[in-house]
Amino acid sequence: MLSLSKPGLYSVLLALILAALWLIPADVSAGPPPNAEYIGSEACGSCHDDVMEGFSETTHGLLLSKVKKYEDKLCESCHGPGSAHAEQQDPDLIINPAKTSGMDDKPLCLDCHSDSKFADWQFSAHGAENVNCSTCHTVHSKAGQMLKTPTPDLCYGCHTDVRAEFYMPSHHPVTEGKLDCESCHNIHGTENKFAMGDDSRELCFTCHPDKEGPFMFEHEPVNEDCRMCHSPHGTVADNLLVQSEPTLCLNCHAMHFHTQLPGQDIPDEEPVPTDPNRFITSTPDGFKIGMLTKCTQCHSEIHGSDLPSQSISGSGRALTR
Amino acid sequence: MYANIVYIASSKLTLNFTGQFSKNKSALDQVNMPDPPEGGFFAARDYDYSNMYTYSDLDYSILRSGVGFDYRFSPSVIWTAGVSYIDLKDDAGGYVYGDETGSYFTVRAGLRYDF
Amino acid sequence: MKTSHTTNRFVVLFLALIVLVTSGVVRADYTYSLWLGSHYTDFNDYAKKVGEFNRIGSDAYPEIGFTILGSTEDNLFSLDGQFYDNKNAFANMRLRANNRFSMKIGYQVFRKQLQFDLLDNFNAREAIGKKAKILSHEALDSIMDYGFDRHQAEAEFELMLAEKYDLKLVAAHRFIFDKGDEQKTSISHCYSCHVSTKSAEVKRLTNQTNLGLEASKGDVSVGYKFSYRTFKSYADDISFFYDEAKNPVSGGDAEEFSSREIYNGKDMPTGIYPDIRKYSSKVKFQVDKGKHLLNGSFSYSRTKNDVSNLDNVVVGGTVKYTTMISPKFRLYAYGALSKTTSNDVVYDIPPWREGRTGGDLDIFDYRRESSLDRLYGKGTIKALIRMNPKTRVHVLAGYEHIRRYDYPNLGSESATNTYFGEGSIRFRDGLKYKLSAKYRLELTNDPFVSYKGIFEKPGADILKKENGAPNIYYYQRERDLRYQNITTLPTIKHVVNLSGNYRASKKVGLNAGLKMTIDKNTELDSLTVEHSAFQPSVGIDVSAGNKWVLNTGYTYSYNKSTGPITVVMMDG
Repeated sequence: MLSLSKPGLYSVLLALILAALWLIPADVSAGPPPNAEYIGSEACGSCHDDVMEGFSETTHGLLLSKVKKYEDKLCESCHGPGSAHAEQQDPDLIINPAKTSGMDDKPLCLDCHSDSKFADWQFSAHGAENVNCSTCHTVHSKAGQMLKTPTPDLCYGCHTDVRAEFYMPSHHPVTEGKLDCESCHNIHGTENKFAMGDDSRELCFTCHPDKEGPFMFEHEPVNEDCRMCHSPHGTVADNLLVQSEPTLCLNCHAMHFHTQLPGQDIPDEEPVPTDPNRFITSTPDGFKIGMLTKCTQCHSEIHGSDLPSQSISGSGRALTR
Repeated sequence: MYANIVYIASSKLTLNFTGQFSKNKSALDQVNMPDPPEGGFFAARDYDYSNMYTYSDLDYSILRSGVGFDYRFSPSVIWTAGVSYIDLKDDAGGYVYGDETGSYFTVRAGLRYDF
Repeated sequence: MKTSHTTNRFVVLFLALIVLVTSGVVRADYTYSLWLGSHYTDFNDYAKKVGEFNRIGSDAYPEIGFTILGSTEDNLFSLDGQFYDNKNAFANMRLRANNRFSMKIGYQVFRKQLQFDLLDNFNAREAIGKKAKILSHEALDSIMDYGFDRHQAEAEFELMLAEKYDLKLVAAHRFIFDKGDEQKTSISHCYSCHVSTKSAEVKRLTNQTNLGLEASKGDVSVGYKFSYRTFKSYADDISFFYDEAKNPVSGGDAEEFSSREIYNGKDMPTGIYPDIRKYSSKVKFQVDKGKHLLNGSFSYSRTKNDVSNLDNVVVGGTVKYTTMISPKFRLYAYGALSKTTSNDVVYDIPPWREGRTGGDLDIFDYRRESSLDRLYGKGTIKALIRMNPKTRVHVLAGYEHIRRYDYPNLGSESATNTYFGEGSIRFRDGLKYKLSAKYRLELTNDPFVSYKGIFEKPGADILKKENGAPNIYYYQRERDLRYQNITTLPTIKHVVNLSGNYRASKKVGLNAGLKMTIDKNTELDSLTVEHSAFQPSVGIDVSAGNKWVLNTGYTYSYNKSTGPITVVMMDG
């Protein structure tokens, strides 16, 4: 039974929203006053000479100077009209993109970066969490240097738990530099260009398509969510399994093993009675270890198979073949 | 656990050190299964699960380390050299994947020329 | 040094590009960076785990790397690449011409090492005397250097067709080619429980091509994308011999044991890859009215597996909407709905004991009723509220529904409903400090269940229900006991996420975080199912003078699961 009914949950959430709305104080906004005017970048350089030095060689410096709409404004293309700020030298009277809020119509940067790659920014995890572009980007930098730190270290700055996961024994090769966070994650909300549809598994299938099937003999969790068994950043167990075998498998399946019959200890290798070319051994512990250690040693086609398994009692579904 | 250190010794020489260590364990608690009925058929069979929790333990220690330097001969020529060492120790006995203990090191050097 | 053909082609391609650039065909002002180096690698013991994604050997390799950046008034061009060794290299080229055409081409190769021998665990156990009855094992081929090279190339193009409507042709292609060797395993159940392995060639090719159009006029943008993906293995199939089933010790009861097996005394292909073709179409639209942004898509995809002649079709759509109700209040809404249908096929599995002695005939006909068949729906509504310039709050409520049709063996539709809500608060004082706390609650009715169910009631009481059956093995077939609709997945889940960043000075920054998850299943009568995760982390960045920069951190992660374990006991 659920401890909180669904209507109850929604009532609580609605109350929270209303309470939050009620608590909202008068807004304190910053930026140029309505009567502020554009004064040109030379005026900016008189105080911010450290920024202006070499700005023309930066990506934004190069591009802004070549776009008619911005060529006269340069700094004020992003920072807004600077007359009031220059006169009163008040930092609140100029737009500081690093301090703008995603609460505005849209982030300032999207005025220019308006193509389809950023169409979903507002709905992205970063956009919806109000992450500012300048959290990751250095705007006054040269091409190829516009991230504050190279990834993945940049991402680890906030996602510290992920750094630890990539140092685990089984991990996607981000630590080795073969993949990047952006190989899987839509940093700007852009859909992965090779993942079609909105199924969470589709992203995994873009690189691991052999796991998609459809298969004649299915393993149902594969059709649910890859993350039921795998943790993509890193795990202790091999193959990015969230738990080691057989524990993970025993979450859903009854385990099976043979017990030791009396008098059947075979501590040293002996030929199989019916086949002198085969040898068997038998100890009580060894018997159980064989069955209760690594399920996929026998159930090797764990993501699904088009071939029936040898054992009839599972209707060919044992995924051993 | 990780630590990265950069030491700018002079305008020409920069030293760097990186190190990460992780200890990773996965284990099953002791499983308490009910005892089968006494006597008869069951008495002769081995239904003892008491050691089952020891079959699939995993226990790894991983050390990644590196030390190197950049030496700037001129604004456009940089000499870089370093060594990295990665060691993985498998303390679980190898029942699950076999013994995976191993290590490797890489020595690397080169020149970068910007023009 | 042995170099693969693909690597050779890569080197030739990029040498051609360098010649193209430097010959002035792409006219621009260029800056160049060249790296010339070498490295030596050596290893101790078992390098296949520690060097899973590297080529590990006692070798020295020359290296070359380069970056070329070029720009004109209208064009941007970059080319970079690196040859690290014959298993590790990459190169990328980008070109943007006059705002009308852009392209990106990239190539990468890396090595994925596979375990030296999948039977190593048997060897490890046997080395300490813990030998396994029946589980004999044998590598039928000599052990090789298992692993494969992953070659991946991507190309992306964008061509402006009509500026008036911002009409663009967008195209992309990617191939992934895995080449190497792997070890396949097979088990002959029953008689020998004989796990054997063979070497198999890896030759897996994935190709994906996307083609689409995008256009926008005023506030409205529309787009269409078609995608075609194929996966195929070009390696020869591997076959294993499946033993005649007999009692493993006495060799007796051949007919009784054989009747449990499908393939006795036959050489059968094993572990073959599917042959997949996937077609997808997607229509997108966006309406941007400043304060209101509406964005949606409709998609259709069909996936075919030609090995088993199966296909499934997914039809779905999403809608996203956000509006700024006031400068302090933004609302987000999201909805998704999709339906998946898959063809049902009857696969002929012979009955148990057909034509043999030893008991009643059991029917094991297998009708594939895919668990892919389902209706999926999800909806969320989220409010983002700026309390003041430093404080921001968000609340979210959502609902997810999965209705599975034809779920195997449970005999009826099964539906999982999840209701979830979350809230967070964040304080930010410029770059000085940031604190955030987030809590999420999920309530689930009827979580996913293994198609076999899982046996719930442990204990001697159940064992006594065998009514003196001579062998507990038959307990396995007490369907009422074994196939129960229970799961170890949770019905209630709490997630807490706390994080903080504090910049004590320009030279010292601290960050700390804590993630906690606690969940349990409250629908079970007699079992305890609980999972918990606890993950604190801390990091420090220090710069001392202009000389030293240190960043260091520590993360501890603890995950614990408590759940039932059920056993089907067999004698032996």
